[in-house]
Amino acid sequence: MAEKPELKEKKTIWDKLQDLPVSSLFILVILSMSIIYVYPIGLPVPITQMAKDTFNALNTLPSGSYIWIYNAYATGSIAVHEPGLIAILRHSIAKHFKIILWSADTPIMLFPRVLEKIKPDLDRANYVYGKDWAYLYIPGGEPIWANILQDVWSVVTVDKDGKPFTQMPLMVDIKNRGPTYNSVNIVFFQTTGGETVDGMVRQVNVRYHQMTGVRLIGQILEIMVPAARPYYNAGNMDGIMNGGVGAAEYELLLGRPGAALKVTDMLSLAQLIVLAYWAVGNVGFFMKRYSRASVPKGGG
Amino acid sequence: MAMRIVRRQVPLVLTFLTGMIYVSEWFVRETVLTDMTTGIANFIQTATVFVFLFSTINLTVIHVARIRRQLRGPKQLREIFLSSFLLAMIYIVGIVSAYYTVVRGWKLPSATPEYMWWYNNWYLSSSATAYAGTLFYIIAATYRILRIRSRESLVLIIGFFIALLYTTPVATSYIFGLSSLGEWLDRIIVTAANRAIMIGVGIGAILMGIRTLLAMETGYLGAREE
Repeated sequence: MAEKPELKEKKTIWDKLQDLPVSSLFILVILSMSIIYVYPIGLPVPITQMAKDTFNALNTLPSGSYIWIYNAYATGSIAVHEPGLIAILRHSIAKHFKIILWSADTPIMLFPRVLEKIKPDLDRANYVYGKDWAYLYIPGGEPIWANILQDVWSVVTVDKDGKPFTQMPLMVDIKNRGPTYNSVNIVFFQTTGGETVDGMVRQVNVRYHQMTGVRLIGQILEIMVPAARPYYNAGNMDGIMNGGVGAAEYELLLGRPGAALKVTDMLSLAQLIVLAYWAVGNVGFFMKRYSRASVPKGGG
Repeated sequence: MAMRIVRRQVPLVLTFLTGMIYVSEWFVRETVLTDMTTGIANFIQTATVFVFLFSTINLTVIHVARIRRQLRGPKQLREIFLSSFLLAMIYIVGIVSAYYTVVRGWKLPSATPEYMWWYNNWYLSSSATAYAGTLFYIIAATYRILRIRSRESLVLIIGFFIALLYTTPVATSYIFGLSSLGEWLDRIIVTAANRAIMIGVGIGAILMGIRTLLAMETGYLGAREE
């Protein structure tokens, strides 16, 4: 028995609009991002109040203050977090802060990339490792942060390369000043996960803000910012660097445009393309439903 | 009976004591308590290092067994064998580079050029590529799934539309009022919703903590032996 030929409904313009090939969207996004990576066009980046607060949290501290930087980002978010760290380090060096970085794992491997970029700043400000800045390797989460702030010497006694604290004037000075929280004026953390925000608020702000006036700022991925926003609104965090956009805003406030602004250009254009495709798809979907509803039903 | 006490009762007592030390230290600033929490934190730090060691040994045992089965017994899927083989090779490279690290004077791997070469050229690029790959899933989903199919989805999509525009710096620069609208949504609506979630989670965590301290919650000990 011969099979009946399948009746194919003719595709209307609305069908086509809601079924645009996704590969074309991919190609457009890749092309736009690649072109902007090579030729940045400098799209405007408005400065938000959150970015201003983050900047001012650092900027209003006197020279010689102690900044503790906790890196907890991984290779996946390097495009966002690395420019943020560079901007904060440049600002801290310009303000002649004492800088203590610490991390539990991956960022130690990524730090040579950052060091390469901030080396001119360190040299210009005559920063000496061990005297003006240090990098510590401290595995562990929130309980460890609590102890670092109490007495960092009780947690580790060597830096990430095994250099003893006794040979580092910065760490000896911290010990001589009593409990470590006496040598913590501001904590800046970078994270891709939400639990770091909660832990930092508990251990830094809740515990020591009233006692020592310590400030807390953090760079969080854009997607996690809404979850951290209540802490910022309540004053538990002095500022939030909103992912890559926040890093770009910081670069602008610092007057040192860098990689984050380039990333923000790419983000702006890619998001506009996605938005245009989404709008076209919805117009097709909506018009198709509307035209179906308006066609008179046959009878007989 | 003795084993049962060791497996069940001792961990419960230890959990209670450790929990009470931490809770007391929060409220009572006594040097003795602070010293005790420092000791516990140092133990956690040491345990964290052992977790890395344990997971390395565990993974090695699993994958070496898989490779041996493939070589001796019935053939398995080629992809599974290849991934196990590749993993074993990476382990060997890692262990060799770590060995050289130790020989060079007990420095962390970050200090050696061999390890950094391997890290930058293999791990960094492949990890960043894998993460960047999610971009395509997200944009494809945005185009295909976010359709106005009902009134409820309309509300969701209006929110999505404002959020996406608001997080696009060039859009907030040129569209009048978008910045204020996004800021208002973030400050009032999003914060209110998140606060409700956070307070709920917080209360839940307190209750869970009390239950754990009182040995009413024993899930962390594993399956119960009857």
